[in-house]
Amino acid sequence: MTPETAGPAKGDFLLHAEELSHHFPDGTLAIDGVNFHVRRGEFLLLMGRNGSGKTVLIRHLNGLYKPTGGEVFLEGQPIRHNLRETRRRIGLVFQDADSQIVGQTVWRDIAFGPENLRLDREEIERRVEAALRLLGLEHLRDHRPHLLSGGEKRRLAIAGVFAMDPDIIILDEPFSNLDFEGVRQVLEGILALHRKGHTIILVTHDFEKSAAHAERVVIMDRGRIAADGPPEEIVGILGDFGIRVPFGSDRSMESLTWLNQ
Amino acid sequence: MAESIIFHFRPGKSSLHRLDCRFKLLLMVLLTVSIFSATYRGLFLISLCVLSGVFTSRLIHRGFLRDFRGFLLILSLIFLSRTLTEGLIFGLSGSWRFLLVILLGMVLSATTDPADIHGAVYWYLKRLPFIKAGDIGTRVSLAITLIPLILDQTREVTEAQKSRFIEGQRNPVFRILAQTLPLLVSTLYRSREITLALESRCYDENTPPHLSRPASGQWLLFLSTAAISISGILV
Ligand SMILES: Nc1ncnc2c1ncn2[C@@H]1O[C@H](COP(=O)(O)OP(=O)(O)OP(=O)(O)O)[C@@H](O)[C@H]1O
Ligand SMILES: [Mg+2]
Repeated sequence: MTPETAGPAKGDFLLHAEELSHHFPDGTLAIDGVNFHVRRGEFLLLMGRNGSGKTVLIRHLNGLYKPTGGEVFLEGQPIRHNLRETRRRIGLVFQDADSQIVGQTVWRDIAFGPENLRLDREEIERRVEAALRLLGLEHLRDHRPHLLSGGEKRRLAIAGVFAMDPDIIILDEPFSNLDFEGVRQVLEGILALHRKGHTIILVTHDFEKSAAHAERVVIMDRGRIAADGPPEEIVGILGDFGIRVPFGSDRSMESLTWLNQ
Repeated sequence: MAESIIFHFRPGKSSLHRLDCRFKLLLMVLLTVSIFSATYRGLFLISLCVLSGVFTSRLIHRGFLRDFRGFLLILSLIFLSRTLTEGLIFGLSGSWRFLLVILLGMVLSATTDPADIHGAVYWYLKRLPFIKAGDIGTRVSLAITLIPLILDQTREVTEAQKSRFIEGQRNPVFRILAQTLPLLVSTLYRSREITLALESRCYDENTPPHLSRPASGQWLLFLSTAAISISGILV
């Protein structure tokens, strides 16, 4: 629960942000002096109530938003020097899958990113097939994305990011609007990515659905990092930050998932 | 999500789906020209051609008529105004020509992936000097992608307001504002989110589109349709 002060040397971080702030033109201070880091291979939950600044923070991490103060570093290098490479290495799955989907079929949508990277045709096909398989979308390859179910759409958005072979995958509320089965399917997909060695940052309100898989939990409150620690430490203070405390007082960490293990 | 049927791409395997988009664009232009310049006999030929396109693309199915109602209104306006000024024959042929063009547009958008339209437009434009082909091609296919989304959104806003008894509101100005404002806001929000999402997927308008060489069967389909549309002007 130490609010990110001391710690290992900065070179150890795959990605870190220093004193990151963002003032919107209308005067909102959405994030305020955030220090944040993630290590290679980590599975991190980023939590906090509505409007606490989670979306704004993660949109800085791959350079979509430019900070009004502070800086983001990838392997110790400021990302603003090479935004394109940063965006390839840090994949972002948007809160609203509909705005992320551009292809007119599932197959073409997944191919969109790799095509932009100008990979050759065979490599594109290989990656799209791998993404279809990993996220269980093979039978939908010729379907129109906008007609898919909520869970399938989310998995498609994840597949599109995975096909670019990023180091870090950041998911913004991937469980919102999903039913039980949808949550499980998406969670399976995320875990498959983590097993493949991708670093995962999962933005969520729901400790109960996925905490069992996380190594670290970071809580934001009013634009600042309010807590940072392993899930078993954080669980006790969730209520202080407007996050629902898991049902049942003495739940083991392993039980905090919607997958049967 | 409420979805409008027309002007949406519907993936499929028909011969029109497979026809190279460069051919399709050229045929669109040819057919449109001949629809407006053909004699009555020529118009008959071209109508057969367009209608067979409508059938092979399986354009007509549930929901089609519902979406088509808006166009019926325009059609009847054309019919009325031309009949009143120039007589019944002109009224009929004028609205028939208009109908053919609309159907043609629907067949094209139903059977063609916007990404392919982008590729084809790029392919034609890069032959012309002084034009940034990538730029224009991208804008064309983005517009084609956005139009159906906006149509969908319109329907959703209208339905949401019906459920809140917008009909009870007598003031027409208020009603129009109530319908267009949320649409405008959500479209603006949408386009901003889409732009961000494109950026984060490394979108680059100068990515050369992928085009493969058309098979000989496609040449046949292209040449025969082109022949019909040209003879439509001559006969
Ligand atoms: N484009 C913008 N212009 C002005 N203010 C903004 C903009 N985007 C976000 N904000 C504000 O910044 C703050 C943080 O928003 P953010 O979207 O990051 O919250 P969040 O933690 O993702 O919330 P949620 O859980 O609802 O998604 C909010 O007060 C929000 O109103
Ligand atoms: Mg958010």
